[in-house]
Amino acid sequence: MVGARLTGPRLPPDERLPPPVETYLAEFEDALPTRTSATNAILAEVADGLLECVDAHRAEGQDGIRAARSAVAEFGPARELARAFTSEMTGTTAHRVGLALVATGPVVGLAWLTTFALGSGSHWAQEFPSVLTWLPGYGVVMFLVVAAAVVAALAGRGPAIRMFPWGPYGAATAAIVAAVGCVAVDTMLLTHLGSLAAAGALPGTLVVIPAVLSLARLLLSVVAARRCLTLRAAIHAS
Amino acid sequence: MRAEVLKGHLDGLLLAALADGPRHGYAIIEVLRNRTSGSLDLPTGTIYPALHRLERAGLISSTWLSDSPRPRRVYRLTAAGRRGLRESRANWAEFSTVVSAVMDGRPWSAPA
Repeated sequence: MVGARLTGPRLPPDERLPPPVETYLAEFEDALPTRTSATNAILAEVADGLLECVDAHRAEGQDGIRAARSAVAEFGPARELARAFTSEMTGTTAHRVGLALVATGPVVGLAWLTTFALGSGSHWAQEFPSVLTWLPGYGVVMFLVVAAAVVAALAGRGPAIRMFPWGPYGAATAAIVAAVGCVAVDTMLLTHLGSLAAAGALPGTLVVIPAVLSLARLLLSVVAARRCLTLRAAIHAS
Repeated sequence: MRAEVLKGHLDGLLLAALADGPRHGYAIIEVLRNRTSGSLDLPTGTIYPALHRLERAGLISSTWLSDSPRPRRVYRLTAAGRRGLRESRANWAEFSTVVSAVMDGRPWSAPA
């Protein structure tokens, strides 16, 4: 059944779709590059539109199958429709990735600085220059991550998208840069943490929270980067 | 009237179709057809991604109706969408006046 493995809005289980509509929706679903609750919502919306269209043709006097065929023809090729939706999904995904990275950055950063401060007995704000000294390149990569995440959030969705002429493709590129940069930042921090812990410079209990936060963000960044790459590639595919 | 002729004006048309109140995708298509006595021949499938694009730009918002027999997404204009519609109407009025002047061989001067 169309969308059966997804969550979110969907057709009622007892809704019987005319065969041409079922075939069209299956082809449409196959052509969408990712499977998320947003995909499920799009399927439910297109299915509702198709069934409304079938009803309109039946009201004009067509029989069930003919009305369904007319509705499918009226909607245009399923793959073209999927490609148009892919562009919208890409923009929204890039926006969410950008927002998530901008929102989690200060939390993870503060957890790290607090840990270093507790280890050295200083104030957390004093630790930032130390981190930049210990980890050459950290400041540059961090600046790149924040800038790319802000661009992805603004260019992907919202009133500011008009200011970014490169569209969802560019927003996804910014989100990929931000996510990959975030993987680099978290890898640097975790490696540094490992060396400090090995040297006995930080107690093991202190490093658990920042290590878990960084590891979680690193894994989510990998997933986000892969999803954005898939969507971005699908915009120009076929 | 074919879709390519309307390129660049689809957003304004969709915003205008929502000016009277919230509507779902197919109801918007019917408004466009009824207001033009069927002259607008848009592929129905193009409307839905265009609505998502307008929502992504913050010009419309959507909610899911729970009291319909099947899930139904309903769109409405946002404050930015109402401003966008006013701009679209003004741009269209100027565009159509200018093109009509050229087509009809009449002089046209831009407002000061």
